[in-house]
Amino acid sequence: MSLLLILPLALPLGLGAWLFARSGMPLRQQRRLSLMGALGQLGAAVGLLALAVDGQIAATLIGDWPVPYGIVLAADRLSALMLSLTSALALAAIAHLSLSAADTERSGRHFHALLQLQLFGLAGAFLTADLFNLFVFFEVLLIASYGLLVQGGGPARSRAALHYVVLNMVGSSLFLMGVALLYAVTGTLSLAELSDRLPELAPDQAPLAGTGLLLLTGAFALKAALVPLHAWLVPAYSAALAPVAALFAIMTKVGVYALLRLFALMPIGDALSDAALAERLLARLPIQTVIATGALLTLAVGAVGVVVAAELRTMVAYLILVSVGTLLAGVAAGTAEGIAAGLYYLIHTTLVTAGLFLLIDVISQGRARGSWLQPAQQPPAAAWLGALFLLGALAIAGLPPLSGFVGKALILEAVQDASVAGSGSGPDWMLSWTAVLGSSLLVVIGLSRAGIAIFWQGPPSTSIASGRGAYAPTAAALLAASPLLALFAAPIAGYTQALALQLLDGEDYILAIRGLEPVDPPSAVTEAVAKSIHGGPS
Amino acid sequence: MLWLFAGSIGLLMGGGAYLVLRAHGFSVVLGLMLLTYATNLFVFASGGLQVGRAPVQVPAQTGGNAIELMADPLPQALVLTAIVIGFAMTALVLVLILRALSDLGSERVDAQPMGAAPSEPQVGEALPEQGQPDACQPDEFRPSESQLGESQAGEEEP
Repeated sequence: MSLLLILPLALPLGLGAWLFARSGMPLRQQRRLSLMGALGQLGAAVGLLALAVDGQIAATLIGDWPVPYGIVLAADRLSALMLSLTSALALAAIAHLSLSAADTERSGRHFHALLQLQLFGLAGAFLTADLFNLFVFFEVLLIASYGLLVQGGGPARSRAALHYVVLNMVGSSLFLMGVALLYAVTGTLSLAELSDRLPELAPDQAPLAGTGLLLLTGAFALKAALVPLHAWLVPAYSAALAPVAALFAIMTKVGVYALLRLFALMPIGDALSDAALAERLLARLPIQTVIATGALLTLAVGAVGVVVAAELRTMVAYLILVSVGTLLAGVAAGTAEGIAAGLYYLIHTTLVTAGLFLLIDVISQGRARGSWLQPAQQPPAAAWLGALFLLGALAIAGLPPLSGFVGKALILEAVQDASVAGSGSGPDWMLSWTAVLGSSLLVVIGLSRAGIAIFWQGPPSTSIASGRGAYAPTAAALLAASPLLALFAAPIAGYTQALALQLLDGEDYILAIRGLEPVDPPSAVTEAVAKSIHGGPS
Repeated sequence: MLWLFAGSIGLLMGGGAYLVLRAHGFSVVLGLMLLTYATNLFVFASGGLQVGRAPVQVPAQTGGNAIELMADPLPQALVLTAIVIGFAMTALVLVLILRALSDLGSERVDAQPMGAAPSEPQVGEALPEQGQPDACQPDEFRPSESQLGESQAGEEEP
């Protein structure tokens, strides 16, 4: 069990370091190693997922330090799901790179090393059970992502990367301050201990903890690209190489993941009805309202962006914004149903937007006008690519037969239920319905315009599709997830429902981490320190 | 001491925020450095401000200290990590700004790319935003959008 938890971290870290040291290795060989690393990570992630399906929480002590000091890795249902998504995306991104000759030329020598370090950071962020280590892994994945973003060079990428780095550094400062505030009042940074100690804070310390939680919300909202903190997303995603952009589809979801963990720390939802808790400041923090309002704004900005985008990559970047808004609209309901619906939508939107990034890469390589939405000769294999584009568009817009529809329907239902039951403190459900449905309409219009410009306005291609990548097999594989998600909607929604309950309850997580025993008994000194620290937070 | 400490953090934070909002790359780097310093001091203070206390336990034979007299070692460890990360980040931003300087021909954070990539339609005239000297932050996002809009309009007219 502990091997399953360590492997998704150790494998990409070791491989990344090895690839950095041997950067003279031929690209083909690097790609093969990188692919094998991602496969290994996927294997471990699926193993964790299999454990998590039964509600088991895998946890392990790194370095055998007893619980309150050592680094703890833990995988509950949420972590296992996010980790599996990450490795699946990485696999598709690397495979896409090996199929498309142009990208191989554009990517630098360190591409695969950076990609592995990015996977290390992502896996660490999803598996760590400690707020400070979450910060460290955020930095790891951000540093790697800066490197990945500028792959291929060019002024647009340099400019986008600079803005991205500066904004994220400011966000990291806020994150660290929030962490420090929480440590100052609770004396712990473990997620499990925090969720235990926060509700029992003295009244004079609650404002400090509340400030810390709000700072963390700000930092995570920046990562999740919640409007008005979204400015970095569109330039960065539309400038990155297609495989990088596809992998980045999980990056905004890291922010959503961190927000969910934050939610689990706070007494929300059902706990609000408890009069004793509601009197305390923590229970009245406006985090839910902030996220709900931000989600509606994100939906509006994203949908308008999709309609006015002049270029396909920009359009898909705005689609990511729309999807973040939609899933946070569900999550902000604060109920288990809302979080479950949001997470079902998260699986769908991560895979489909990544697939669209890979698909439009193939499309724009076959057109004279690239990814610009101007009439030009159709790309080779237009019938097949057009069908894939239609599939992706239907899925992301949320039209009936596919998973987007299921996800949006679940979210709308959850938002209405939460609002009617009065447990949601967000905007009225009618507002959310208008935003989600209105944005879907605008997305349909925008994507129709794109489809018409690419596949209908312009003569058929004179060149014949050549090369293994011309039929976009990796994009097809990712987009095929949408009908599958719709077909197996019941078991998957059941899993996310169980996930949301496990997350909001939090009891299992605390017990799993507290129950960890080091292999060697702790020494007398650590015991003494433990006693003095457990005496109470200073 | 508390007020001095809090005041310095506030001063660093304020200066950092001001500099980050400036348009020149160098000011932004300085601002980020100040922000990181302020954050590090803040994290350091989260264990409580104590004078003359070691973060390690000294053995009793050498006139040791009780655990109650120890300074909280965890924030110090956190600060060490944060300093290293902040240092690496600052170096990275500097490299990126140098890269942007060579790619964009300017170290301003709102610099426009000179000439478009071959696959993109050409953007003809200078953008109106370029006339405003210090309008970095509010305009940070606008130029790329207006550029896209213009290029589209320019292509559709003929």
